[in-house]
Amino acid sequence: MKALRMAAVCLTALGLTMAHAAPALTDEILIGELHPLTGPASFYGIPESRGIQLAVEEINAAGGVRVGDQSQMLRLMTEDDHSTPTAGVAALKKLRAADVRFIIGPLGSGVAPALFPIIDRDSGVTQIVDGTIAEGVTNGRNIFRNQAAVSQYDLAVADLFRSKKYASVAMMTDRFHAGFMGTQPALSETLKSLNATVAAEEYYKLGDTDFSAAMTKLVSLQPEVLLIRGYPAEGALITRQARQLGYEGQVVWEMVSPPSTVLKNISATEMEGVYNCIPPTTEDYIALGQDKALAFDKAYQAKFGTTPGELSTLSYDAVYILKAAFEKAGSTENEAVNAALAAMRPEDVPQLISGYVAHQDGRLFDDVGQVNLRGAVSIWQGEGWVPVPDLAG
Amino acid sequence: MLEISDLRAGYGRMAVLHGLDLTAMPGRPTVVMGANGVGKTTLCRAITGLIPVWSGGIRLDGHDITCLSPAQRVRRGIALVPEGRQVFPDMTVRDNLRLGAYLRGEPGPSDLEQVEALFPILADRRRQTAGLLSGGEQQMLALARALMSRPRLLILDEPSQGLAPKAVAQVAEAVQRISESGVAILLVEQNMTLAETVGEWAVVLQGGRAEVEGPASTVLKSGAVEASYLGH
Amino acid sequence: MLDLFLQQTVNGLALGSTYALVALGLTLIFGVLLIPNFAHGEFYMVGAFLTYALVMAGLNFWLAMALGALAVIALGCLIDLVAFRPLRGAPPLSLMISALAASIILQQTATLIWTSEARTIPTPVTGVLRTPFFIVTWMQVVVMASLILSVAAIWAILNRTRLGLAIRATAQNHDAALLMGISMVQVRLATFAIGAALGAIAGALLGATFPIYPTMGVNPVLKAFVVLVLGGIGSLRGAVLGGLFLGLVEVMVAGYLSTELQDIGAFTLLVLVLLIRPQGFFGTAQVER
Repeated sequence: MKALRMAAVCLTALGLTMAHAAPALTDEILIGELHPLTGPASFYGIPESRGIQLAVEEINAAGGVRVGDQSQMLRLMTEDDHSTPTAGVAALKKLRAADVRFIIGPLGSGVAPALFPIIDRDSGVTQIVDGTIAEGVTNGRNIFRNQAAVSQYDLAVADLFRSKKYASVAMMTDRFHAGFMGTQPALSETLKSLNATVAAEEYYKLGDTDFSAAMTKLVSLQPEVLLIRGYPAEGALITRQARQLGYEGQVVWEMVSPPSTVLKNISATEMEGVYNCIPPTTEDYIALGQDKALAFDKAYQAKFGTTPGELSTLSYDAVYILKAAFEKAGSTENEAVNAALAAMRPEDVPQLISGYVAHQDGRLFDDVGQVNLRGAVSIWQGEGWVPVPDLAG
Repeated sequence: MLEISDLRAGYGRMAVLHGLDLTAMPGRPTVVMGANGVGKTTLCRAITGLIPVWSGGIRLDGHDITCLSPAQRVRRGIALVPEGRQVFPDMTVRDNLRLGAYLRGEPGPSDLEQVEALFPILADRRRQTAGLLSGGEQQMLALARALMSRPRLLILDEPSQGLAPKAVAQVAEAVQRISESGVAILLVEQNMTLAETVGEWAVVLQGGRAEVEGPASTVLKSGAVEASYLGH
Repeated sequence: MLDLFLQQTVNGLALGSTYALVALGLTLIFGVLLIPNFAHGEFYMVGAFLTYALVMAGLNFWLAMALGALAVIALGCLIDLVAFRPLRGAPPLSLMISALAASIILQQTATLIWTSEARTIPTPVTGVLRTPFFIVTWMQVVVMASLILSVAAIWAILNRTRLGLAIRATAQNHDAALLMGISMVQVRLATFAIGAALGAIAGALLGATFPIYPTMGVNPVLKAFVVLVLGGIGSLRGAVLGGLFLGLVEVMVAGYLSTELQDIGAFTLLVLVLLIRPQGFFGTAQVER
């Protein structure tokens, strides 16, 4: 009796393992996602991961993806990259070992450059980067990005300087942020060409808390603008310390900064009038009352019981872009999907929430696989960011 | 008063004491002689509870104290003047003495007067930092500190070490007076002069055991001590 | 130019007092018990988070800080019991590994409870003091005043109480302290309690100035170890002056050379001190016993 029960248990266990290890069925497309679910960047990563979950569930509920003349369901495999390069590479290997051929992610500006050379050589995988803004992590062949690049953030900074005719600027940049550091010299040149004197270029690092030395120096230089490029906790702190030391000029941020996070570190009154130059975020689209964004917000809150983060629509969009590519290609072979992605136009994906602008040739991605998601200027009013549509004013 | 039977102790896995028997009582100052490394300091540390005992027993007034903490043993009247004096170097002489009486609360003026009468030099140095005292003065302080706990058994571990002959004589005189006041003395020494002056009963340690034992006058002159140094 | 220098000096002293405040608790535990308590950064972090949680629940900042400190005292004693007491007599490396383990466990627990998002405790004292020569926020004044008060309180405990006498004795000679009948349990408890309370107070005060997050304690503890080496391990005066000195050097390097060199400056200083005066400015050379 005992032996019999034992055998039954063993068989059941074996059955379970078999089911788990079974290769993806032909009517299923395996999609891997790679985001920081733990660690300091998880408050960006978790909303992104959830945006993907939401899109996958919606697509499956609506009958899946139409490939050729058969419907296939999407199956999601989630990996945590801790926003560190080593964990990211390990997670990628794990996904590839499970024969995942389509990957969405990563978020971290440190992770993407580590994955790039591996995926760049691997024609058996297609990647859509939905997070990092670092330069040089796409190739237009099998790596695409539906997030802006830093240089596109910088365009909004240039717009702001052009319209306000600022005469001088001091920059504080997170020196561990590969993206911002990468465009620092170019941005500096652009601003000079707009007749702004670059009074100082100072650097700090994530986790720094005392900026008094740099701010004292800065206040004595009295630049018209203090431009801060990095993450919001330090951004808030730098803004506060500059004000306390008597800085009265214009503070401009260049960073994804959810008002909830900002307000945990600085009061709304101290933020009043600060400009931010980034592409519109989930919260902006919701604030603007865009229909698809409102629907997304509702679905997200219903499922997760909290408001969607800043970047979750990018991840949501990425899933729909992949779906459109499968359907256009009529195949799930990487080569065909890559070609479909390269040729894709924004209007091919009606579900997109983010306001992508077609490149001049009408495509969604340019030759290096980059979307056109131009930065826009917003201003802090009351409790959050408000878009500034007319810069001349 | 103090009865040690078949004591085994050591450090790590290395045994130092291999079944040692020893007694000490008031009015019969006992000297323990022996070469370096024979287990004299280990013995002191075992009696005061600084190291655990492997087996055997330590009894004080018939009560087993083998498993008591150092503080509990101090409370029962055991005090040690440790090897190398071990005064608190950055504290004043007065604070060192206060610490001697730690378990009794703050020492009264009479306690301080008593030890200062015994060691007049300490009265002059009251506010001085102990680390700045000379070796002899530090030895006096260590003795005085031990007395502050009002011990009934005073153990001295090589008090003559590093002292000039004159200072050794001072120590000898102090120990004799303490003994006369009714405190049992256990003196662990290599210095023959001090041993002869103070000791009435002598024990020669060898190989972690009490090898020879008897009245100091006989044992110290018998050549057993020299023999133990030579390893016989 | 002189204005700028005065302002940078004030900046340096303000930064330095935050370093000193963190270093005080660390130097006490290290000096008395010879434990390199890396978990001190987590005392600091938990103090900050508890104060934050209590302030958010509507409590007055100072009351929240006091309650937070009490809770961290209990935590400190627990850490000692679990992580350090079983290792009595073990080599320093074991203690260090145990301390790191405690530190990581506390960080991860905090991440589970509070997530890793950065936040700041609403400042109990707002506003800025403007003098003709320099500007300083009132909160910075509070931090400096707290440093002075903390030092005075520790000094009084160490030099005016029986317990303090026992703690000092233990720090100077562990075995001799045992022979005086001092109970190590009591000394350990007291030392950890004071050290943890200092960490929690530093966390609450600095959490009202800087963002708080689960790994916020890592950097300050590294800086505090630098301060200990500068000032001399186990010396309270060394912790205070070492902290102020480090703050000044960092600010001057950042202000007059480059912000990129700020940390490099601090660690260069560390290496120099180690080469020239290994026992620190105020430490006494360790004598082999």
